[in-house]
Amino acid sequence: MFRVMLWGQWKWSRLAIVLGSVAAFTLPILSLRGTASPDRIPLPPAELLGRVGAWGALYPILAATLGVLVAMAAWAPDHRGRHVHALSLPIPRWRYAFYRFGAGVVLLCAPLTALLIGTLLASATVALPAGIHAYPVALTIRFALALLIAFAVIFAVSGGTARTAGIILSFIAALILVQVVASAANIELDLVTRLQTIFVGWAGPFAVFTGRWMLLDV
Amino acid sequence: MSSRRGRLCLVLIGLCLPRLLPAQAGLAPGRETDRLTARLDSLATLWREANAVADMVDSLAHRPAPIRLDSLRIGGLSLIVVNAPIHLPAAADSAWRILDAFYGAAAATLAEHPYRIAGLDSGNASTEVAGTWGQQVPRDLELDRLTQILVSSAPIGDPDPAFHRWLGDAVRPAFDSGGSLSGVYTALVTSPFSIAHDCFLGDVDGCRSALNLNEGVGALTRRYRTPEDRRLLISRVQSHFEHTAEKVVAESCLNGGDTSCVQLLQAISAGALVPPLPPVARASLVQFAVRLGGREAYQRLAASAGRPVSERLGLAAAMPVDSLLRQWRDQVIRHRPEPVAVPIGVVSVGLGWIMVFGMCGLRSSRWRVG
Amino acid sequence: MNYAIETLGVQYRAGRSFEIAGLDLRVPTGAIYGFLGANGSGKTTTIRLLLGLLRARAGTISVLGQPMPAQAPEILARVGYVPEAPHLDGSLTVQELLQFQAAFYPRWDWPMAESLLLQFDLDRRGLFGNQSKGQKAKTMMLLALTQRPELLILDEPTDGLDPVARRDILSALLEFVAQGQATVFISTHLVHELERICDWIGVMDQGHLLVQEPLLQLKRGVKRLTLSGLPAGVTPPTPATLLSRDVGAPGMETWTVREWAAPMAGAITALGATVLSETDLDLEDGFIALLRAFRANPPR
Repeated sequence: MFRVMLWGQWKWSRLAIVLGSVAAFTLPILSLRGTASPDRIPLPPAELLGRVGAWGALYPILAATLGVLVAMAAWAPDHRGRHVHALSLPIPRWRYAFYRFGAGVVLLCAPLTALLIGTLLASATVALPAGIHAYPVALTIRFALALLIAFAVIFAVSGGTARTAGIILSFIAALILVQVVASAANIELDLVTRLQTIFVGWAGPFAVFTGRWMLLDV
Repeated sequence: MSSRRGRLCLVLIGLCLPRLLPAQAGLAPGRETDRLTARLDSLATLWREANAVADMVDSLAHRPAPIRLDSLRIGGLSLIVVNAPIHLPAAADSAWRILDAFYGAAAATLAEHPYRIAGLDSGNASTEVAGTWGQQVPRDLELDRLTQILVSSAPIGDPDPAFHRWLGDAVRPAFDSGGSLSGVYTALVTSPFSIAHDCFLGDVDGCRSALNLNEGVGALTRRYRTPEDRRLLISRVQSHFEHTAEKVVAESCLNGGDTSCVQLLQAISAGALVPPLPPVARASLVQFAVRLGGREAYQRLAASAGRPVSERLGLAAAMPVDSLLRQWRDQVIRHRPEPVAVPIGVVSVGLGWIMVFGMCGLRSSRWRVG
Repeated sequence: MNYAIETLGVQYRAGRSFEIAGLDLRVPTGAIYGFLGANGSGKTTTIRLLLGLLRARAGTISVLGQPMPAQAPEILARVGYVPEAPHLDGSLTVQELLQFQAAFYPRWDWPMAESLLLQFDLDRRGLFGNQSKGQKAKTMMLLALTQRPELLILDEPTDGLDPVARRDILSALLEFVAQGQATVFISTHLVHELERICDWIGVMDQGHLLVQEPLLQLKRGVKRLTLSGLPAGVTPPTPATLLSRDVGAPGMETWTVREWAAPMAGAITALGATVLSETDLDLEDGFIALLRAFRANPPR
């Protein structure tokens, strides 16, 4: 069962997976090209780290984009068929969703592996100044967590009914409305910062998206 | 450059040159290169200032309509402004608090040297009117960036040229001290010179040498203390010896002759030396010393002109320089950049959230068609 | 009698305007049960309730002797379903769809799949999403039949198809029924089609099951009577029920009745009236008469 579901999901998400894998492979190589290549005059370490850090912003963006696209593609065939086929299959709902989730995770292994190979290759082919080290595995772990969190969040939301999505969207709209009203009434209420603390703080689901996305560091 | 502007520059330089040239007489041959370099720097500065004045004259001469200048006084800062940036009042207020805390009583002199700020607003005619007048910033520049500009361009004089030479810049407060200390940490661990590594490991004398605070005989061999350090240094400045008699000595040094390296080290000009740590490290030490020394620290620093830099820093911080260096180094170590490796806590929390959302997906509310 | 499907007092409400109330459906095992009803009468909703795709507010549903939805996976493994609209993944080829279904159904019959592919003239490499309406219907029928179900539930399987595709599908269905003991529950509003293949009929309207009986009984019992000399206020003798009554010239009336039996004419004659003619209605006319009678006097 898992194999056929994996195949179906691959057909829906192959474009995102292939492009994502190419991006994940080339990103670390491009980030070090011209910054620490052996045939060029080495940059001062601080400048080198600055440049690598600037490229670092692209990793969480790539992880989030890929996670969202693959999660949406996981449910896309069911949404198209209004879930009639899925629900008429002789399998408990949780198991069906579990296979869908698992297939998505397996597919995400492709860009993850591409990133690992890309970072290892990039690190191996540059001449690093003394005191600077490459962290290909750490970066890949961070990327994997961000990728899976983005995937899991959208998978959960997208797997629900339109009513569930409506409740979530209404909640967000209500928060925005409260913030706008509070601002208009000069009431000191900073919901955005509070939400940011909740979601991006160390215990929040999106904490891994913050932090340092550096292939090179001291 | 217009002929009028060119003439003005030449006149200004012509007025200043006679005052500079007699100073060349009677130089000791050993320090001649250094002194000439310093003179060249002065001339370059003069050239830039003359250009700035000429720019202003040009802009005033060619402007189609008079510029509307606004004068602002925020805290102890004076500002003359064209098309004021949106966040200027708030930025000036923040900047004044930083400058006042850093310079103490000396900050009062800032009122006598107004900032000249022109806000650029694309599509706005006033931008063209402003021309090249004053310091030009986007009118909608964000608050932090504008504050940083005001702090880093505070029109305050240097304590003295000797201190400026050591520091490589004017004495200024740090806008983001945490960030600059992290930068120093990076510099300490990435410096190719072993003395910086000694400093990193807690050797105060190593910090003193790495920060160019040692003076006198043997200072250079203590700073570039290993044959590898000296060879590295000479390799970095190899081009200086390309057409000189020292070329052969340099080659010998690079081929492993440390005696040659030491010989070159004594002959090389101070300006050509590659310091073990970048200017940001020295700047952070000064900022740290002034911060430790309290409101009068900057004044003590300025008043101690003529003394060795290390002594002056100790005076500013009101403590022995070794204590200052030890505390500074500890501070730097505390500001180690956040590790790249994902902490186990973040991994655990992340995995937890993946499971939570995964379970939400499995417990999907879609048990019915709709 | 064994029932492949048995519901008792099933209630379901969708929004404010539509409700299925007290549905008592009994589909005998081995029957080909035609489920008739106008568009929007509740046929598809009933099927979805039977398959566990919707949950009833009250009542019990038993399919193949097991309670639904409590044992949905076990039941669905024995049920073939062809929905009203194409529901399969359009990005998969016919071959991939076969493999997909085969992975889920323990009684999957590959030789039968191959044979039906030929019979339906389907290209196994063609994408389901690119197929014509007729091909899609054939593919869905193929998948449902090939899993060798004990109960086949078809929701308007031939609706909107050309006659050739319709004939192909119905032939395959009859062939399948002839081979085994499967029960077929087929919903449609194409009455003539049911008349050819069904042996049981249920009629649904506005969420209510109006009639449920063997086709022959239904056809035999629904009559159009032309009467003369009828006194006012006369109704047909029980158990016959009057579905409609048209008053023509003085003393002349046309009745549409169900559960009519020939001896009942004697009771009418005893009242001084004469039964001038007694016409058998076909299923479609009977169906329309039933609906009219129900709508003229709906339950409150």
